[in-house]
Amino acid sequence: MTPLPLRFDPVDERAMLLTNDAGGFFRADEAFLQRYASGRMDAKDEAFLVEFGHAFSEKSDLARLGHAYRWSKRQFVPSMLAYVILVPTLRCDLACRYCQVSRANVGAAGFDWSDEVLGNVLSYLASLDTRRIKIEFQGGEPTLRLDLLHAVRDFCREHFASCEFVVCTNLQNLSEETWAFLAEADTFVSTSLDGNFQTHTRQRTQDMQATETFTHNLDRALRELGPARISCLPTIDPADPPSAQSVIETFASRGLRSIYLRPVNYQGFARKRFGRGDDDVWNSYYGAFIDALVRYNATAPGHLEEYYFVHCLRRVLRPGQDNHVDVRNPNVLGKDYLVIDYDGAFYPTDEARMVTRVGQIDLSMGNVFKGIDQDKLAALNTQTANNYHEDCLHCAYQPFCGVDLIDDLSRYGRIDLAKAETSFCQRHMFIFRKIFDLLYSRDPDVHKSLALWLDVPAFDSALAPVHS
Amino acid sequence: MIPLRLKAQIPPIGEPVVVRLRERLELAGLSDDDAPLISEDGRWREYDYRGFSLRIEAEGPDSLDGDVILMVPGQDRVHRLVRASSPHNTLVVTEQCDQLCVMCSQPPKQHHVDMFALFARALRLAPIGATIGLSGGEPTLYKHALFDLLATALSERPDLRFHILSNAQHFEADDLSILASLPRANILWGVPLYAADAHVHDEIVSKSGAYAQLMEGLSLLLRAGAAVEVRTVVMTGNLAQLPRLARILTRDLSFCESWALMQLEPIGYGRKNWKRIFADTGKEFEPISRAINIAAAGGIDVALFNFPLCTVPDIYRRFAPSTISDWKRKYLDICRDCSLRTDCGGFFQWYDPAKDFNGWGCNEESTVLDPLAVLGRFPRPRGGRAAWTAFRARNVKVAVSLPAFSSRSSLFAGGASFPFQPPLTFKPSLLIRRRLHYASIPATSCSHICSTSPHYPGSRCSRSLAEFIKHAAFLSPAEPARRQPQDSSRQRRQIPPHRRRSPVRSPRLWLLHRGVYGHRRSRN
Repeated sequence: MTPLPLRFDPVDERAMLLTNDAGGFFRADEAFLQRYASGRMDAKDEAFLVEFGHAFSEKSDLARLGHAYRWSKRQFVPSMLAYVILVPTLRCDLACRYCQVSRANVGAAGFDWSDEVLGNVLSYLASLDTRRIKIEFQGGEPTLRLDLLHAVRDFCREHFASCEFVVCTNLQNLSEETWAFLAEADTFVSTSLDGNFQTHTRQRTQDMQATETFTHNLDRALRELGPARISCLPTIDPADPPSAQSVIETFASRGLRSIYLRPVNYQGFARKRFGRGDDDVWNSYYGAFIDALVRYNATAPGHLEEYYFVHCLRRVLRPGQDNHVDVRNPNVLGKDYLVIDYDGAFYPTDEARMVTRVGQIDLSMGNVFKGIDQDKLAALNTQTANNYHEDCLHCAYQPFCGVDLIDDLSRYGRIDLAKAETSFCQRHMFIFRKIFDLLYSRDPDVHKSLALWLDVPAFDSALAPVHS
Repeated sequence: MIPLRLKAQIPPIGEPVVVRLRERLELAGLSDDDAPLISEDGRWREYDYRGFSLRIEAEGPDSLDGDVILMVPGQDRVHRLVRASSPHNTLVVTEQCDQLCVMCSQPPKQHHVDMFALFARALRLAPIGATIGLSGGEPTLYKHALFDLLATALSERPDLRFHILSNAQHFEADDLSILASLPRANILWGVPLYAADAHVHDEIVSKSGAYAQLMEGLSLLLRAGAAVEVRTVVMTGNLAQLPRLARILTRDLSFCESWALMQLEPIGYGRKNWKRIFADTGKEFEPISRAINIAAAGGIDVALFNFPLCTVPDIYRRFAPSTISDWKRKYLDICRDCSLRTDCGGFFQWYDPAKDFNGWGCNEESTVLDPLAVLGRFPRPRGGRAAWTAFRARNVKVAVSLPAFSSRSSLFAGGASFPFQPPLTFKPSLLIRRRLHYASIPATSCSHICSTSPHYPGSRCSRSLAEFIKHAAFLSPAEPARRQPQDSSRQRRQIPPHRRRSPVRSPRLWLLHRGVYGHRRSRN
């Protein structure tokens, strides 16, 4: 029997969490760790490792091949480019305090696609190999240029076998033409709802009247498009967050089941006004929020989830969950999705254009006139894996985690900071520890939420093995 | 049952012939292998096969258009190799097998008839995009011919898909290159694995060393990048092992696309060994629910095959697609008005309602109640029978017991007046034999429920809802169950896992024990 390499993270004085490279995990005590590390494991230890997939006998046996398979399935392999974020205008009719894209005034000139840019965007889309496309309209407020949205949507419907369009709108001032545009079945809405309406007013509209207009539009969208076609994302100021209870009530009362909590990003206008933020403050808010969701789900008829937490939970239990671009490994940039800005410049991520806007570092990767700057992209892509990164190599959560170079660049202007000091690492360590706390919890309410979040009828404790 | 052979008068042929029937006149571009319909005379249809008459007796009005049939010289029947209107088409590669599974639905035979050349012709004529099952016996006993068949068929017809049932005992390292060269998207290998314990598996397939060999075979399929579906027939011998198997599947076997948990087919050895191996999952569903929960949480696509929906607790029904092949499927009398019928695979043709599932038979938009979910979670109302009756009335869903004993049957037939006192001294072993029906009352009358079962002829009644709830009331306890004083010393005592068992093991029984009769009897 050959044991596989294990990494560990102490849970408390008695228990350790141990994981292998392919994301298999179990809890054991420190005495086991001592025996494992010094090669003095007893028969019971060995039997446990074999039974739970942490050891193999021969190179060609299923235990080792299965391990290799699960490891490889956890590595993100980009498929062809099929997701494009378009910024037809940078102008916006709101002035949110934390605006991360440094939006332009609604009347400003020179912040929209010119006819030339539009033409080149369309010919770029035409050059893609994919038969299915997902287009996300970002801004600014994209509905200010409904004509451009129509032009892109008509072109894509003509050109691709299947299309999906997401309009990221503030739902503030919508004309009847805009409503008609959103009503089509292949079009989805993504909007901001900052937790509750007081916070929404403070951070976004600065005006109760405007918040009322937004609420009215949101309810109309929910009524006419249905909750399945709308996602609402709250942006949270960790220093002054809305109470978990009020956020839950605001979402649940509207039939919205998924809440994606995001701290104010260190981007755009938010850099000066909100600073880098304190990760500990955010983490404790986030942890309390998850607990509040568990309590809510215990009795509520319809359940709620925190989108990112559930995504990470699924990454822990299932290999190959790479459908969220913020946490992937290797997080290869510029391969399966791209951003095209108001001036036709390519960016590898939405955050990359925000970083560039504040003039800290130019992360544009060419433009629709000259094509993608592959050299620049390749330079970034040498640093996108965490497997052999010296700071991640020994981390128990490495198989589930990812890399976010752009976040590091934005916050620290460099990517070679010790990982443990980065905000990305601190937030994800917290999330994964929280996930394992829940997996090993004996609370039936926690089990109920886990089952709902994993979309299974009931949570089985066998999913959280313990070696005692 | 849909016939797979049809009575026919065939042209004078010297060797077996594969031909495709065509019934739509507008079809252009007929080839030599097509036999267009020229006339119909009652049940008999006449086709033109290269100028000769081919007459087939169709048993119903259904179209035979696109069906690929096999004519054998001297036979007065034609074999329907591929039925164009059906998603269930299987070619039997050989009837030989090196295993002898205790539940085999098609027990193996000694001789082998080589049909590969005929199958190759049939595949050429199959409908566009068809999925063809290749089965046996054990198809890989003739693996080289099988690989050739697949490679040729897929080069000519890349639209076809194959589902091959194989015990994966015969793959060798030399086969790796050919296995890897076959297109992954077009071939799904269905491989049976009964337990994650070599001993249990080997005993079920009656071949020692089969498990070890199977692991080798699966390794090769993994290395070849093949798509694999694990198939597990649920029996008394492996039922308890399913949660562990689920765990192994999410690990070593996580390359498998899907996991099919299958109920027993009462034919062949399955019928012969029924008494010994049939696991009544309508009664004891817990190992299956655990297996589903573990596998699905780990990202395995798990499905229940051949489980009538009324034997599956409703929260698990989304895992039970309709899977019984159309030609061997039937529905019982009670299924006639069932609102789930279109989603339900029904029963095997050979199913005998008298001896099988204890838990089947609910109809209605409704729900076989999951007793654990319902009664276990509801706080029991205080206040005696009246409160209990009201509680049930409020929750409309009622657990009804249709008695299996003749004395009760006569009671239900309307011979006795209600309420009567049920004996409170039932022992679980006796209770097991009672047929429980869980149903909700959809309408204002209970005629629905009492008439659900063909086993209780004459049990039809038409009492009003209010009266019905009164029936239910007789099943309820006089007083809410009293809690046993906790014995702390007993609580702490460690019972090894394999000895741990609840006094009542079936959830349904538990319901009866706990919910309906109310008095939990102390075991000490």
